[in-house]
Amino acid sequence: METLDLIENAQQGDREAFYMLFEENKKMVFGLAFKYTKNKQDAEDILQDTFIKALNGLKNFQLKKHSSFSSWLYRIGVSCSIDFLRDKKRMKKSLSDWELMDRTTSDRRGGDPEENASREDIKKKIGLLVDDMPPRQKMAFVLKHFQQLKIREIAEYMECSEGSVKKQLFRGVESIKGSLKKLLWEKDYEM
Amino acid sequence: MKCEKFRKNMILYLYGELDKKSAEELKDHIKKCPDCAREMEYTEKVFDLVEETKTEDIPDADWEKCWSRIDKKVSVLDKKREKYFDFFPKWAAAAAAFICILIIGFVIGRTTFIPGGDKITVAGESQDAFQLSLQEHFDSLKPLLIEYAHYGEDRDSNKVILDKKYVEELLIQNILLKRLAAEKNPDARQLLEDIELILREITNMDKNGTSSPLMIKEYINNQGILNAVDVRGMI
Repeated sequence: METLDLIENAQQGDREAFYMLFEENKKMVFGLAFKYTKNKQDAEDILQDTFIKALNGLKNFQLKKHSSFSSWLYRIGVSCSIDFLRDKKRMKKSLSDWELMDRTTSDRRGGDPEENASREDIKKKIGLLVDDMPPRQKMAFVLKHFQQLKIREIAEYMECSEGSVKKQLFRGVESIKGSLKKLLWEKDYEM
Repeated sequence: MKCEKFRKNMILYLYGELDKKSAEELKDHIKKCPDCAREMEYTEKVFDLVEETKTEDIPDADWEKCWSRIDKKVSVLDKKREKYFDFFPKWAAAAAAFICILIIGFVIGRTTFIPGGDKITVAGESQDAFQLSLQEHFDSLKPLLIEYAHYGEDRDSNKVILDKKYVEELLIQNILLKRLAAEKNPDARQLLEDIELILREITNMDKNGTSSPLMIKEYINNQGILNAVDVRGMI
């Protein structure tokens, strides 16, 4: 069955058709969520939120208005991922006494990357810096650097202007550059 | 053009998204400005390192489990739609009833709600501390669940707790416990997932209009949540 037929049937309440749409798109949504969270469990939660939200909005979905069903779904995935991270950051902030937080903090403290930083240490540091970015900035960064999307596409998925995406990317890159300056600049470029 | 502007353009240039004219200007500037040349080299190096952190291996999700959760949630929504939209064919009447329930629930919920359960529980590192936190969490949840489980059964029971801040805090606590349960008590995880669904529905109740106290009541009763909370709370 064609995607268009599946959408129409799903809009009429055909659960089997919606299941087939899930089958067609699950890897795309999960891939985005996993690259964003780097955590399988979190990515599964985002996948579920995305499809539940999609089903709720399916009746109002118009193919003409959107370039395709998968790009519409991708946009929902982006929004669910950002919301998920916001909740998680808020949760971490509220519950900083919990052992989970203690463990995360101690992971971050593990080793001093400023001293004898290896390439692996630097990559690890970059991973942590990306994780610590504000949710929207992180999404723009992940979509650009890890999904290789164009700024125009990112703006479409994040439902904002291209200027706003550029600003988020610039801030993200600058924060990484600033944090790594000591590690890289002084090491390799000291004059 | 000042160096600052060129530095912004460097990033776009490395993305391959700088227009031709600006790219030429940038290249000319770099030839003349050693600071910007060095900055460009540094930015390229950072981009290379970022590229190396890219996660290529995406694991397989537990697709069956994910679909069954989606299906379960959607079934509840469907049931609610069938039942209530057929029952109240006029949108205006349904909306008015919903708003009345919302306002009454909010007012009564605010006045009858016992404060103190909204504190975030602090857990220690041990399994015992986790179990204790779980039990405290269930104790905090019980009044809310009981209220929804008996919604509409008598004249005075059509009130629901709608203290959003309180419910949101319960939700945050629930999410955290769910994550910890994955390591410490996998059996409790499913129950916490069901409770998360309920708490999300309650917090979204006035946002999208797709949830209602009756729908939540049905879910609590069908899934035997209250009984499960009692049993879990005693373990």
